[in-house]
Amino acid sequence: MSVIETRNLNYTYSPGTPFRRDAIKDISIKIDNGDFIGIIGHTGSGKSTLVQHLNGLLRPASGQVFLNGKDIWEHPKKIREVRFQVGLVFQYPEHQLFEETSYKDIAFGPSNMGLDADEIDARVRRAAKFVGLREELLQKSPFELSGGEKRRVAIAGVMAMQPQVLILDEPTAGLDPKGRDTILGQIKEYQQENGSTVIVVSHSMEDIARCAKKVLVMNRGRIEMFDQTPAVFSRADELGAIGLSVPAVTRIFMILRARGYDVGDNVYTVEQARDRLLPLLKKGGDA
Amino acid sequence: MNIISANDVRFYYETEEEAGGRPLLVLDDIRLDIERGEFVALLGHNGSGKSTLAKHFNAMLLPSGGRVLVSGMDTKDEKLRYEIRRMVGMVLQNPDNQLVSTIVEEDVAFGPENLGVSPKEIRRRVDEALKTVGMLEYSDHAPHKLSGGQKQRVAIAGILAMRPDCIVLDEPTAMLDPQGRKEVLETVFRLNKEQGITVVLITHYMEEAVLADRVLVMEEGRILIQGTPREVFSRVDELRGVELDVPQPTELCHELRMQGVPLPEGILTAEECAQALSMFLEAAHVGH
Amino acid sequence: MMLNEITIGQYFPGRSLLHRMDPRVKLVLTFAYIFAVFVPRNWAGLSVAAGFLLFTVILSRLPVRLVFKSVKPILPVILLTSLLNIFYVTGGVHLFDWGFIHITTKGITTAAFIAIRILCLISGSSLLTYTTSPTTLTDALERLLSPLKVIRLNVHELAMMMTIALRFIPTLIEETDKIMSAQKARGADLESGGMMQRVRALIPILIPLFVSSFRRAYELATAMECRCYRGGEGRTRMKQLHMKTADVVSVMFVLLLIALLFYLNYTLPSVL
Repeated sequence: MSVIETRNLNYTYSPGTPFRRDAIKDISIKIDNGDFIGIIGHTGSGKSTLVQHLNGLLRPASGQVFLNGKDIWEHPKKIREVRFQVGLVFQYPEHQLFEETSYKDIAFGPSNMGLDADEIDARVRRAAKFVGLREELLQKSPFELSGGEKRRVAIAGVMAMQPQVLILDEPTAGLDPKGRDTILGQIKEYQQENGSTVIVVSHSMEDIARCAKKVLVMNRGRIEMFDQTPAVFSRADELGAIGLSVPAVTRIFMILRARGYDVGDNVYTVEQARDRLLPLLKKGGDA
Repeated sequence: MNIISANDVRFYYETEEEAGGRPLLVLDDIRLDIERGEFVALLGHNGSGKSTLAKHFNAMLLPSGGRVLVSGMDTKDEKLRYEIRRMVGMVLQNPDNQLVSTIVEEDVAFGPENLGVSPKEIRRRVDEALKTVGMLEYSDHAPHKLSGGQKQRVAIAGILAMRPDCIVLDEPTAMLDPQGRKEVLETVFRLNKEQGITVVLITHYMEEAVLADRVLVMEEGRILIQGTPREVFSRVDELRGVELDVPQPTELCHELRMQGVPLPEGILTAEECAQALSMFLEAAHVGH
Repeated sequence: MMLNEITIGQYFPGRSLLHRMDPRVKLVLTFAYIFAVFVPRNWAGLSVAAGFLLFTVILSRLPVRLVFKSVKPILPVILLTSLLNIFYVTGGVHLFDWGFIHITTKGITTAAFIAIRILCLISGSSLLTYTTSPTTLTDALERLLSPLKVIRLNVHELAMMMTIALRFIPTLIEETDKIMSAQKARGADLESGGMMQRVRALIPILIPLFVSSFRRAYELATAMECRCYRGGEGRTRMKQLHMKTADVVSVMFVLLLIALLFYLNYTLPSVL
């Protein structure tokens, strides 16, 4: 069964002013339990607006959002429950840190859930482990940490709510290559260990290629594609037409295929490319 | 001729007692000459000292030891400070936090106004600068309504209006989406090629460094590697050692070379990589 | 309502006559108009004052709806003053008496009169901000106040502070929106609970907002120094202000309006 389903979602910013702007139009998607989904699109394509509908931060102008088959706006008073089930990590989440210690900041979500102290403690430590925060960092003020560490504290703050669905909006924005790799790796591990549903919003095709099983491509507030990662990346021309590009290795393989070499497709990472090419090249060496 | 030369520049912060009271060394004997008209990319992970070094180029920071000369002027000379800052303009990372005014053209005018340029001349420079970065049609817009790439181009125009000889950009694309990154890079590249403005680009993105004439890699306050993009990116293992990425095509060729496929070094783009690979695939009779 | 939908104090770019007027003149005339609104003591005068406002709105080529939207946030204030007037002003025919409450025709007239006055006042001053960029406005203020340099008031710094404040208000509003959403996503409850609880609920929003404001201030200061800022000394301005014929005509127009309003007070009976 789908954990999240949307039916004909529509949303407009600033209706009735000169700044009126359609954000998303007619979005209907189904997300299965345990899926790892990448959402990609330009700034202003509606990705962030869409994910804020999934945890009830935005209320659709029309259309419905279902969580485990239930309309999340059936009881608007209980919308907070939905936010515990669908955890959303915002872009630059380190800007939301406020507590005296990282530990307390991570505990903010779980304590809002009304859990008892032992349970909160267990969850904070578990979440901290997922993002690789050492004990001494937990007792430090979050404002003393490095950029990458702050980001990880903020992500742990949402993981600690143990949501059924974890959504991360641009989790690697503004980080250096090392920080980016660390966080992507941790998210992947989290997903595998918990088997929970994870949605990552990103500009970077390389990031998406590395972790997502399915890709949702958005353009001008609409869904352009929603399919398995290989199927989406095989439509490089269409992606190019809306200004998105496939990873460089994928492009290498496309050029080679266009030149008539039978190298196959479905290659998005350097490792995949190496493993695919080596036998072919070695064959030549042996001949 | 050199526009910037750093002679044995050291820089350290005094730390507090509890941290041992020892000064924290950020730049360690940097020796570097940047030629007029050159496009230099400065790479390094966070904390490698690249931003600190950049701030020495326009006298925002002064060396604790050694000297920085900008077109022969010592940055320590207080009387020359504003002339140095005019000559070496600086664009910062966060596009939101460097625009002063609520109207694009008034923001671009801020620099020349500070320099006491005459109103007519400011008008001319502002229009010219906005035209150069392709933002002239937005001159009466409010900055907060622009996209990140547009804001960053306005920031560049604000520097251009001071008629600089050199522009230092401190991770100007780190907070932008791919579209914005492209806009900013194309603008910077054009300024360098068409107007001969010296560019120092600090970045994490290897695809951006590829555009430069010279790439410098910093680590722990020193310049670790320098050379043309091809030379630098052929040293894949060293770059990885300092936690930097290489472009995917370069990495792929390197990986294959490690496995005994004698691909050439210094491949940077997908096209070059495909070209090199097809020669080997041809030899292996794949698909023909 | 989302925070970023607030329109009061916002600028809508345009090329209308009103947009192009000398901001110093606009500023002074806005004050003159505010004064003018308090002159009329009868309906004829008030209609003339309101009609004048409508006329300027049309000149500005902004949607009339927009101008009235600016009034929305202060509707409670208008409502309150109207109610107070209805209950406390007595005279004329008694319509309703109950204990100490007396509602009279005069009370209702006064309430309506004052409500319209406040409406004119707010719409008039928002018309100023709608048609004048905040920087131009501070610029005008700086130049109007520059005689105060004599008493050692640093007018330039004041104006610079205002410009920066205006520049960052939309940014900070957006930021507040984002932080609120982020904390709500962690289950922060901003809507329920008693007074103390609500104040406490603001901490997770205020602290990040302070931290980011300091960061922005620091970065902005760096950027300004990089652009050779060193105070008002030796600074020039790109935009020079010139009085044009249109400005002179508008000054005469407003003077005429005020004169007319006094004349109407003199010739017609007061309703207040």
